[in-house]
Amino acid sequence: MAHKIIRYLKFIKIIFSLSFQKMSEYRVSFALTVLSTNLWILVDIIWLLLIFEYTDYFAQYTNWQYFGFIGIFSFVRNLFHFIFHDSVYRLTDHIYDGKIDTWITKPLSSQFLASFVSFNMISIANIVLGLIIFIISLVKIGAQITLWKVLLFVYIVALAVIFMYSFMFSLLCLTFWLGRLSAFNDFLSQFFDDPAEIPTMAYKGVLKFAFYFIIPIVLVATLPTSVFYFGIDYKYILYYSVFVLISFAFSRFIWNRGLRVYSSVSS
Amino acid sequence: MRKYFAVFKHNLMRQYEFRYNNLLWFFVGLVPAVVNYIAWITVYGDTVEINGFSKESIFPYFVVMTILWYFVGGTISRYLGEHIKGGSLNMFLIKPIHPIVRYIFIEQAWKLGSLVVVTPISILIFVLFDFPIQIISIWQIVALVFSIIFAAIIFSLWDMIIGMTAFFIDDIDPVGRLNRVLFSLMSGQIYPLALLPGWITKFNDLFFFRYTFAFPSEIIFTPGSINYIRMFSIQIFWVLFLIIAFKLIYKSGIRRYEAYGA
Repeated sequence: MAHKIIRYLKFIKIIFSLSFQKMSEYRVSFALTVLSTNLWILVDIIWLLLIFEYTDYFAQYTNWQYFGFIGIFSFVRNLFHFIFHDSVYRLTDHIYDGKIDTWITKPLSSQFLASFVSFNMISIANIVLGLIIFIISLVKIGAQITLWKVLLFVYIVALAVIFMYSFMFSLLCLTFWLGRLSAFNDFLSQFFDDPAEIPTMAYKGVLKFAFYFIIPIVLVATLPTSVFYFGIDYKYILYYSVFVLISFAFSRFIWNRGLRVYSSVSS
Repeated sequence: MRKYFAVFKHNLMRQYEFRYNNLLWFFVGLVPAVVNYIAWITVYGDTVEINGFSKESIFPYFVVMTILWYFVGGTISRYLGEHIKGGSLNMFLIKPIHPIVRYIFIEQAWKLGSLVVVTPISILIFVLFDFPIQIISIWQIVALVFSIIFAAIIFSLWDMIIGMTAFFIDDIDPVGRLNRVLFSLMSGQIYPLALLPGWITKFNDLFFFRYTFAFPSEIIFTPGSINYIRMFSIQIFWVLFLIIAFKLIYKSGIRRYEAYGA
């Protein structure tokens, strides 16, 4: 078992190294891209300044709490982008173009290979920036930081990333049956990016229920920030743990079912 | 002109091929509209009106913004930049049509092809949600049509200029991203400009962004508060300014063009 894990870790190391080399090829372009993607955080901060012109609380968040929320949103989203986005985003093309032929023949899990094609190095800067913004917010509001809270925070962030991965991966596996799903790909990205950008407390009725229990985008920024801002709800965390486990198991199931109908169409 | 019409017709037919894609993109565009609406409704709370902009106009505003994208917006810069960098612009240099202006006709075909799909759903949304949009006179419609035409020209010219930066720099993605950030902040796409504090509004008025999406939307939602002569004069000024800028940049860019990716 340990030998197997080491083999997988070695593979991740190689992919990371290759992604780093690719990034180093075009350093100026990389720096400009990082700078321009950071500008979206600036948009969020300007938006924050505007909404707090008219209100003292935004969906129960004060201005500094919401500042931290923006940071965590950027942190979690970019963490997902860093690890999975490049691979998952191209999954539909890989399946449709028959590029997974080579993965099936390798001595590693084909789903694992499909999920770690490359790392998105550009996201690292936004991960760091998001975390800095969140730490500034914690300092400003004088939040109580304990080791237990930090561990829970890390656990929830990990749940969020695994959930986003499982959800997108499972849906994009529909390519096995439906053909190329490029627009659907963008729809999913937008679906995670936009609704999660505001605290889930802002949603009412059916949307609130859906975002809490069915497609829990609440995990992306609302729940991690709640650990430090509003207290810990262990029942929710337990629910999400089970939910994410089932989502991940489903992604394994649908991938394996998909492989059965895979016909290596244009390879 | 017939040559450009042929480009338009060919690309309009291609839109039929991608009709489901176009439909899905419309729903993709509605996601931020709904999120923006929910955010602003939360901000409004019990307040009925902020800076003359009513709470009940918030949702229609963001839906109108989504639809306006199909009249005004587009993505010329992205594929123009790719064609310049990849060298595939070459094949259009020897054809009897302007290699850049042809993109305008491709874009209009996309707009018409998308609007055929998007319009019935938009009408349905307007009826279902009983949107409080009041078109009170024929002049308001005429003003709206002309504001959209000028807005589309301004957007297209600027977008082509952004695409043509590929003549001068290796990677135009950051430029395109900066452009999208500026449009988000200054054109009224993520908030009605009426909600901006006074001094920012004055600063924003100095640029052309607000004359693309915000001005047509103001004709729909706050028609009584607009100085039409001033607004149309500024739109025309920006059209002329951008035409001159476009010509100068094209002339300079095409001289430098090396088509190294071809």
